[in-house]
Amino acid sequence: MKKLTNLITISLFCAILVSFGAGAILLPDTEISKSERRYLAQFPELTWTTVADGAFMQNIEKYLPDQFPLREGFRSLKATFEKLTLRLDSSDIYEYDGHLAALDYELKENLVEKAASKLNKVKDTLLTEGHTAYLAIIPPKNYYIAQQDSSHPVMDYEHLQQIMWDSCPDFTHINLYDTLTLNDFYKTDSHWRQERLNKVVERLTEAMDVPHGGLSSYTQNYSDAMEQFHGVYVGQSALPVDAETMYYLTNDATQNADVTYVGADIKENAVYVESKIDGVDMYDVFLGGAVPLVEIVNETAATDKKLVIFRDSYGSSIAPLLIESYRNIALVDLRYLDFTFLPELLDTSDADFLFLYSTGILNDSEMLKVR
Amino acid sequence: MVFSSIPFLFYFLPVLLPCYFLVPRPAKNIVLLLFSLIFYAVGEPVYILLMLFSITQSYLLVNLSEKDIKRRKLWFVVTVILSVLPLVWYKYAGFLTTNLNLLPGVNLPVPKHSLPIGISFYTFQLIGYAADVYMKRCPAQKNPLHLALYVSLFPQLIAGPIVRYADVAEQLTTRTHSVEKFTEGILRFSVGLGKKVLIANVLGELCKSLGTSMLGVWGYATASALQIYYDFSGYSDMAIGLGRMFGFEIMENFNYPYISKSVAEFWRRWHMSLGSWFRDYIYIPMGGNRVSKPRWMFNILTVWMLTGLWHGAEWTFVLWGLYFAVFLVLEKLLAKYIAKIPAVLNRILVLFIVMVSFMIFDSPTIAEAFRRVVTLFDFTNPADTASLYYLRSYAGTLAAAIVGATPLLRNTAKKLAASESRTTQNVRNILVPVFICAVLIVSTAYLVDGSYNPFLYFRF
Repeated sequence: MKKLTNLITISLFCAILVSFGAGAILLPDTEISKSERRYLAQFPELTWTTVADGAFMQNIEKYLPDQFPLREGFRSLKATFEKLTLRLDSSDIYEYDGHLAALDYELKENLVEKAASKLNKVKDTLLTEGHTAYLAIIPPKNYYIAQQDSSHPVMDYEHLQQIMWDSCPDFTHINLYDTLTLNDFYKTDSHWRQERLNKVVERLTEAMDVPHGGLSSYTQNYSDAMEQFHGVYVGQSALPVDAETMYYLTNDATQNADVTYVGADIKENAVYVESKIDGVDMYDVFLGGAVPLVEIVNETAATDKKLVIFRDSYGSSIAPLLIESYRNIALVDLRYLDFTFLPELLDTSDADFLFLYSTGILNDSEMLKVR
Repeated sequence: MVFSSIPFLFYFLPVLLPCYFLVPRPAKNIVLLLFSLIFYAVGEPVYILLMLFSITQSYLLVNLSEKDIKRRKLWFVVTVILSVLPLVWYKYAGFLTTNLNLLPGVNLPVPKHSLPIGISFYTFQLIGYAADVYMKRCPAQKNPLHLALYVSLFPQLIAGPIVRYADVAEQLTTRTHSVEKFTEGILRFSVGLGKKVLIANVLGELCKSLGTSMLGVWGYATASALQIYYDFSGYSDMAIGLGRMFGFEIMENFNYPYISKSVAEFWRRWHMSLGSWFRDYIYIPMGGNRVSKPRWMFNILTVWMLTGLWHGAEWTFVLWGLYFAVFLVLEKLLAKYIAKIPAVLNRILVLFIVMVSFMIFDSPTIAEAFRRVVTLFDFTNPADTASLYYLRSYAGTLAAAIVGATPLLRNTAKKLAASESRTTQNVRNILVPVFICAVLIVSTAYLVDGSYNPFLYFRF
């Protein structure tokens, strides 16, 4: 019996090693991990130089786990095993009331102050006299979870906003903290849901003194693929959670607007880039996602006003809802566009500025290309 | 390449195993040597030449010292110097010149080069081999391939245990292979893999997340002490297991050090191959404890300063070694008083001493080490929410690590193995393959998903 057990043990051990090793060789390599939204490592360059300097081996150690057979299954297994060990999060993603959220609690005051000084610099350089710079900060879902559950470490988001207010005294401050609730965010993603931004749009348009008819007149749209939205936290955590539906709102203004994408390979001139629905990040359907500069013209807008929104990814989903109010809207992503080049690309004169940033960007402001 | 990696588990090992077991016995050592050199070369393509030089000089000079009886001492000294020189150059030259430059008028260029993996381990093996032959404990190895295999044998090459030549000399030619031995090897390897991937790496993540409050630092001290134990003992388990799969009996390196009742006992249970190496090749030749008290204290301080320096060319490591030396001397001097302290208190005291030692060990500077130790008693900053959260989140792993650091599980497994009850035997027969497969699959899941996988002892 013991001999049989030994033989079974050896056979199983060898079978596992050989089958997965051979599987990795035989199966074709994958280019993208959709769940993690990243490019996977490809087979590294094999030359005498790369072998001698150790680069080949370093890269192969990244390549093999990335291309391992049943990789997604193994990632889920890890997340499940972590739950068995009573872990409260998986890869720093925790679950609360059906929502996944990222642990993000360290307030980097110096970086927030740097963010403020960068925004001041942009305003001082580009804003023409007689126009207003607005500043609005988007809190993450952690802020709302913390109001109901104090078991996770949480950043002092109120203090972050106060630092920004204090350091940007010449801006008109728009407080968005009380316009959102936890359910205004996707359950599996960091972003807010466009169809639930009624109060946010109301607060912004009131503060910026432009008319807006509210979101009730918009049509809620989605495609079959959008019923299967898995947000960024699903990929990060590998936790098994249900898909949710992503909607996008349309009205005459969004349908008729003329959109130009600068610095991105997007041919459509539409507000909603449907080719992105099947891409790495479905959220890119909103104004093409991470684009350095987007210009929107609405000849039938309620005003002739111009608005430049300095924004991060949250701006992509709210900007379409402001099209009905502004004749011209430009979205500038300072993470991808050095602001010194902006005057060459965009006429910012006679425009109001809206600086609309999530706390995550302000707390990690090195990524803003303002020097 | 590390054992707990996809390249090793799913490529190196599956290719080596059939190559090794399908060739006739005389060719097995050649296969093992070739694969050991490949194993080293993929991580250190250039430094393999350095290792081959060290092996060659050792082979020639040790054989010469055996033949040339009149000048055997000279040849012994020369081979020791030639073995130590690369270690001094690659590991200590930067440290020595940096400190010499502190002297007025001295401005030496500071050499900067990476440390060849495993150099501290194989250098000590070569010195030990030369000393054993010089002391006539064993004959010199006549077959250069066997000496090369002894030094480069991949299971123990880069992080020990520091195998004694005398212990494996016979196994190089006459070791046996069996299904039972191979299974035991797999089991031991799996235990080590689990210790490394499922506990040490996870505790490493915890260490990185804890805050700087008193609670955070206590959590860090506990988690990092457990991490280094699981990391290094896990590696040793994998080395011993792999050795057994290929017919070698590699010496044990750990024996539940955290249950020790004294610092001396701790060092008899922790990194046993290093402790015994220093005892046999430095401490005893210096006279050990059969000398005057001041001389004995000098011997202890010297050996422990060298032990500290072996771990790294930094003053923190020197302090770490001397820290243990002080406690070893105190234990000896105060032995009759310590004997009266209840065993539980002694154990707690040793745990605290060891925990603090690893805070010194782990600190980038001596000042930082002191700051961390002082924070252990910083009642003005008792706790922070992040540390509270992470300690709760990792409580399961911490609890498993604490239980696993005691002999409880081993004793239970031994009882199971010794039981003559048929049911117990059947349960064991099912549990062993299930355990191995589970550890292998779950560890693979962690390796596929995780990026944190350093071996702490590789830097030595």
